[in-house]
Amino acid sequence: MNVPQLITSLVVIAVIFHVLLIGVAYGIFLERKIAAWAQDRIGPNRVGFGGLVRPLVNLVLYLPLLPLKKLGLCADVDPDRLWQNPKGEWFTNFHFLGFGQAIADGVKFVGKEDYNPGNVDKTLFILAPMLAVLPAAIGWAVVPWGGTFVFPAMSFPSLGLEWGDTVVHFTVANVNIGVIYMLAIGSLAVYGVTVGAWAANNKYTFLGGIRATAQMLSYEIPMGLCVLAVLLLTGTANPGDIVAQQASYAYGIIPQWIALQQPIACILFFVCILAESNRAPFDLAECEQELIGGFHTEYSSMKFALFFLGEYMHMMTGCAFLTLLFLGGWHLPYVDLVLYGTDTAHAAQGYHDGGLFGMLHNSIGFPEWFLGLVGMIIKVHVFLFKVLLLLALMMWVRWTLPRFRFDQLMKLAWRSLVPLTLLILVTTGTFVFMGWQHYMWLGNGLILVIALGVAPLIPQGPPVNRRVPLPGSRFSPLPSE
Amino acid sequence: MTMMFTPMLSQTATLAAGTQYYLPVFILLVIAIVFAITNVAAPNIAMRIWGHHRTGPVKEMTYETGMNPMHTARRRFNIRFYILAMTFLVFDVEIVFLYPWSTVFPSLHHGDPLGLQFLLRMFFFIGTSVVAYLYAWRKGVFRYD
Repeated sequence: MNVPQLITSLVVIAVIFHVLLIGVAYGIFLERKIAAWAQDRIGPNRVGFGGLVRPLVNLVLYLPLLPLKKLGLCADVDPDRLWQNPKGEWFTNFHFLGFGQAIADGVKFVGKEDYNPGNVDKTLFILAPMLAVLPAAIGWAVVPWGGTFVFPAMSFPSLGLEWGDTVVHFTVANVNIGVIYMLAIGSLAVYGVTVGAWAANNKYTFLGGIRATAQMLSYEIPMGLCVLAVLLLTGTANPGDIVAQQASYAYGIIPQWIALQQPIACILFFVCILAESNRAPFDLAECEQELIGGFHTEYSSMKFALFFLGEYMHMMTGCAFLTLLFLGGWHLPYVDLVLYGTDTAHAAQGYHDGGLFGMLHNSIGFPEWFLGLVGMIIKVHVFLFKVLLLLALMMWVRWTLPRFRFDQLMKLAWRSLVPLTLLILVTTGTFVFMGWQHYMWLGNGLILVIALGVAPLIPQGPPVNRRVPLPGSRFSPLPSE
Repeated sequence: MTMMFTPMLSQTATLAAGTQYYLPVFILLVIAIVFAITNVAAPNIAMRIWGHHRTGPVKEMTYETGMNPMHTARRRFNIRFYILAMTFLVFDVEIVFLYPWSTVFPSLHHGDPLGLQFLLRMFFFIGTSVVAYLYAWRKGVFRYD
């Protein structure tokens, strides 16, 4: 049993789970702010923390006074005065840019009535929100948030535990099938939506549910093929190794991010995670104009909130997946040259020989584990910053593009993305066989040329919104013969 | 790409060799299940203790934009969704088979005689599903009008 890795994993669970939960609350806040920015409004800016704190503090301050007030003493003591300056202005009216909104929304969800309508399938109805949030809550387990660092040697004779300096990974599970794990868990998310939609016994939710199922199934195929295009370049399915390979430089200057080698696959993967997490412009599962609220119409209270928790965590996991596959994970280009020196392969193992950290280690004598910890914290922040940028991009896309029609959605997946990603796969396979991995960006140009050349030759089929004459049909407005 | 972690084909592993990596995942799963159950159960219990619990025929009714619901939602739906599910199965299973191939194939040395064999077998394998794909296209599976 690798005890240092187990300790690190538990720390990661404790930290990242909270980061994700708070990230969901503030992700919704961010979404509202970005929506306001896109629509030239101000957005939520009223709710500070004072309104949340005041009842509690008043309780603590005021409760001891109550018996005295009963006896007629301290009648003029008003706890509200504590929150006012002499002019009578409330201290609690600080708005904190509206940052209390996220917490207030969460409290509101818990306070709502938890109601199961009459004709739902009760077991499945209660099970569905759990199914929605479970895959989202465990899908990020293999993401290498902070690379590796050297865990210091310790010994606990009373527990019978002892270990030397150990290289540990700042991830929950450093497994060599990590990428496949993420795809597998991510595709389980379809159950929450489908079961919830079916259990509600409502025609609109049912339509939303089968739409969501069809959409998630369809976009999983191009997604998996994009991942294959990356695996062919890296030769490993271990997320930590994929990121470590990207943390180096071609010709000593260009970061070897796979996004630069496979730009088309990167963009298509982003489209697929938009569709997988039911985000606009692919949010047909919950389009308000057609389906009331979609699959969560009949839900209320925390059960409703769990669907959104699942969706936002799914978005974050998807963005983390994109970051680790294409955008170099925790790698911050050129800054790592300053911190770790040019021997990036050795630095990725968690040792400090060159750069600023090497100087601190060799000259001043900072211990290896301390520098590793500092470096790891920087890496985690870099990773989360990239994830946040992608999240902001998703929200920007939501307020920029109109929603797809269902036939356009399915045609995009099956008639465009599947052939295109198959082409990427075949081209990448050929390039790898020829030993041209480093020239995959030229291969992408080739793919683009082939795709643009073949696209006009693909049969389009009849136009969708044509006027059907419907002779003799019962829908025909004309009288039948 | 530098090959720092070359997987070895001949490496044999015992059955329980990798299980220790999955212990934290299991812990996370337990935490997630407890989290999910708590979040569903706690508001329900709180509502039973402190909240009002009124009901009535209108509140019990299925919400379909305020119209009185007609029939149940358990009805037949478009056959396309079944066909889509079957087509999905064809491709998804194909992709699952490609993952082991994609991790082993790049680790072959350039000029390895196995390389061409691996590549052509993969092309044949993809070719079979491309045939299925073209057949489905011809049959109008991807026509959503």
